[in-house]
Amino acid sequence: MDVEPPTNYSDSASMQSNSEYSDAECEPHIDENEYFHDTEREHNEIAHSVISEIREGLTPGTQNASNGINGKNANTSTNVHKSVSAESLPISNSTSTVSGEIVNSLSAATLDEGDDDDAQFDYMHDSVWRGQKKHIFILSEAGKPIYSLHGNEDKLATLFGVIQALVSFVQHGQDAITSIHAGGIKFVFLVRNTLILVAASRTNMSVAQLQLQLSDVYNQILSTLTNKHVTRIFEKRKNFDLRRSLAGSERLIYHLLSNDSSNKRVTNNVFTFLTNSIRVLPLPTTVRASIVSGIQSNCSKIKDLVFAVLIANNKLISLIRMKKYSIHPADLRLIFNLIECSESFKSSENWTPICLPKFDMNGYLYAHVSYLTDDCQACLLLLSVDPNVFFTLSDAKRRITDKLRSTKSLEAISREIEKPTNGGLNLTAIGIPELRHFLYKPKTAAQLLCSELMPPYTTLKEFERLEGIYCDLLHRIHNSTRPLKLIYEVHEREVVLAWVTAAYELYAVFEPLVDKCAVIKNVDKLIKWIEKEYDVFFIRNHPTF
Amino acid sequence: MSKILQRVETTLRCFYIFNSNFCKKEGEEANKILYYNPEDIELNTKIKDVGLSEAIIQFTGTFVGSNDCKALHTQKTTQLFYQPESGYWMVMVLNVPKEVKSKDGIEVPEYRGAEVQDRMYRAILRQCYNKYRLNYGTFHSNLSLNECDDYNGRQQLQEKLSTFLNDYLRSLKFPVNDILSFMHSIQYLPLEQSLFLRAHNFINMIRSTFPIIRESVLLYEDYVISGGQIEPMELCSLHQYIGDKFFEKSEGASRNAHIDSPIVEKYLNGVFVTGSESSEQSVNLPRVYLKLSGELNCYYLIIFRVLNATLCLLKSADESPPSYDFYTELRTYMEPQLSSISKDIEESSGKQQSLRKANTSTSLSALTSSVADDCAAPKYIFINEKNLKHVTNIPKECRQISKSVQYLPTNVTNLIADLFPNDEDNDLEESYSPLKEVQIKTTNDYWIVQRRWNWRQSYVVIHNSKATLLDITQEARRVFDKEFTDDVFFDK
Repeated sequence: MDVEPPTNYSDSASMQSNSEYSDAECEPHIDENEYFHDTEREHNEIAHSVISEIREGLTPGTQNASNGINGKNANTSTNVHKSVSAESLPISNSTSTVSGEIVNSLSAATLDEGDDDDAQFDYMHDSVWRGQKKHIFILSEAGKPIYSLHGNEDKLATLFGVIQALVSFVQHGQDAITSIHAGGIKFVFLVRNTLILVAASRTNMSVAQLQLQLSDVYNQILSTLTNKHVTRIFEKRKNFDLRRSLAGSERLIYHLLSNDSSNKRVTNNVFTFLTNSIRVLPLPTTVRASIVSGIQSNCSKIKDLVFAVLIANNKLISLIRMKKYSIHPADLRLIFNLIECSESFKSSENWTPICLPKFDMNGYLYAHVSYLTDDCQACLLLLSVDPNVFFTLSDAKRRITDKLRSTKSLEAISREIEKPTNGGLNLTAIGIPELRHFLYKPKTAAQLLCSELMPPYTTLKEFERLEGIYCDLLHRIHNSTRPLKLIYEVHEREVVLAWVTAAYELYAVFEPLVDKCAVIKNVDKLIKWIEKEYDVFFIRNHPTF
Repeated sequence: MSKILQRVETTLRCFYIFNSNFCKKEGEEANKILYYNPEDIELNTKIKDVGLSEAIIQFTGTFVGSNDCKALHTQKTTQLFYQPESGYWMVMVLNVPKEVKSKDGIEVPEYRGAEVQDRMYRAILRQCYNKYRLNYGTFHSNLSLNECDDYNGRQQLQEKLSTFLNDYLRSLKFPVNDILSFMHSIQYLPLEQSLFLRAHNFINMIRSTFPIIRESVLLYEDYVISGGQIEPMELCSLHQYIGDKFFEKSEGASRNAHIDSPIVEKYLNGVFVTGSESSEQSVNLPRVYLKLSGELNCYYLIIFRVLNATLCLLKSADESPPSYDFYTELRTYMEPQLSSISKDIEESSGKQQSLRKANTSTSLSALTSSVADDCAAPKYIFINEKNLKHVTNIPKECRQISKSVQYLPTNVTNLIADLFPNDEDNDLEESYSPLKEVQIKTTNDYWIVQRRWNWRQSYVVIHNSKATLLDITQEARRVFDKEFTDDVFFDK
């Protein structure tokens, strides 16, 4: 049984203590924490990362422009100082989960000692547990339980042991296990950097789709801990219990996974991950332009700011970025996920470290997160590489809000959010009564337009069917060895069409009795309509500061 | 830029059959392996492979309860599982296609596991078992009641499996790409009504005259004319067995062979292919295991052939083999009639063919007439799910592996296999058959049109890059109306 040193390191990126962060001491605490020294050394070792690149690039600028608005921060932070504090801040600042950790290690102890059939009996023979539509298991390479979507992972130790054995046995033969198929269920494996992720699904999702979902979950873990820390932990101690470090972020993983019908939710969210894209809040071009310029004018002088992201209702309003850098849709989904499941952001300004794995999997960005105003529930994130600019960003946010209010942009956003469609697209606006639902994704942008769910797809059962149809269409269209350009299918309960051209992908579901000519005519009409309204529903280019 | 330096197609890595019940104690793991190919591999490796399969089966069993494991995919292999009898697992392990690419001067292997169509290869496992059972009966039938300790029975089973499977696996050609064999159906010969009735009448007469004959199958060349009351699945296996064993390969395709070809001459006066009238030619009568009205039993197979018509008669093997007199009597009764039926069929099918040829040349559609070669013409397959009868214009000889690759590209074959309804969830007893129409276009401009209604399926494949959805619909309908004229097909 392993005894871990009492360290707060585990909570390094837990999103819980973020609001206190602004008051925290920026100077690293020089306590005798071995992990601290580790992380410091690690930092010096990294040869190359996007974040350090940005920092390096900015250093001369910071020194030259010390008379700028944020000059006082820049002066006090030398490059080295910044990087040290960047790594140490999360460590020095949380005390909240020590007790949680003890509980964790206690349960780990009982696991190690009382690892008998009794403990597993509950789940493995429980038909409700076994019959779940979807299971997600995460474990370390040594077989230590980390996460289970359903049930207490401690009680599944045997199952985790079996999974670990299967993975390592196949690895032993210089091979890698990908998936297992059995009557009505698929098991998909993803082994990444000392972690084993497994999905067991009874849905229509294909192996590739489940792998994408697992990789989203993996990114969520990295977003909390960074790749560097995970690697480091397991290098030092193969059987480390990663749950200690992840305490508090299970809700993020859970929320990420609960976007589809397996959690009995009827929502369009699942389609963004299936198409590897995000959704955009529809706004007239002039409104969006004035929002962008409002943010630009107040942020352009802040040196370390990498991204400014404004979102509402799980949809993007605008993204302004540092030149040469952009956010991958997978990273944006993590941001959406964070905002969606953190109610506390609504009440105050927050300062939270977040790792965007596709951007830089080894370091944190620091995010100033706040909702614009009480009457406009759009959430603004200002992401910087500098951990010391809370006040600068807080100030910028206030000025942005004022500016957006004066240009009436706040009103426009609120109006859109408060529409009965919740900022979505109502099908009746297009005037094709035979059309029940559609997804449209331009080839040039990872953005998805989908109509709001309407009857019959508003009940769980029907929605599950719709989700199944789309999973199937997407899988067949994008099949790696036999891709398709077009699918037209007449089912008993609907007519479905999937069509990939050089410019876009379209998936549409029609009433069952519509004939082929009508479908073709309606699809033409739909495409024309979307092209006309394109700039309301999509963002062609993300502007830079 | 990466470029493909080398490509290795799907190959068979190993094939094994095991039954975990045969290993009661640790250290006796070798006992559960009933067959392993290649045979000259270290026992330890065999035990390990079987061990992994057992682990996978058990792991999935945790979630699905029943032992219904189908496939395991790894980066380099695809492993297919089939449990034909309780406890007996057949596992086929394939090396997936590999492409070695050059990326910045470094050779990088890329495994293309998704190219392997699971269902296509699982169909082979199923057919392999069916063929074994037809020859030897069930696996289990070798063992006495006290199965686990029956050393002799196990030994016997191992010997049979090794004889059968070594040959069978050698005859398999990889990669497997035969859509018709995947569908496990048979081609019937469409006959005009009066001729069809005559043939049926003839068969019924034989059965009432010789009551010891349990079932009969009438073939013309290798097309089925009448399959008696044999269940379609069994008939398919039997048909394949007869074709493989008693017809020389070359004659299967000789539809237009001249009447005076040596084969026809040989059978001019009627010959017992199996069984004989005199003692000097006596050979052992072949025995087959068939499931008739739900019961698996062993039957003698008597094959009599006149010209191109072949009559296969099944007689229960519980009784002694028939006497020479029986054969003589049979011949006297059958020969004149069968010979006349055969001649009439020949004549009528010749007429039909020339008629069809004339039709085809005049009614070629605008879409395809411009390109006259074979590849551009629409291909079609119609299947009746109830009696597993198919009609197709994909020629038999093209089913041989080397040619079919060009005839239908692999992605099209695999897509048809994807579309083919899953026979495991396809319960024929159900009174409801899903209705469906599918049109898909591949990135290499093949269109596949599938229709499914009332236990029938049709597939039309058209290669055309410029056609629209509506053009293809029309073209498919034209093919459908023209070729789908066989009444017997519609009304079983």
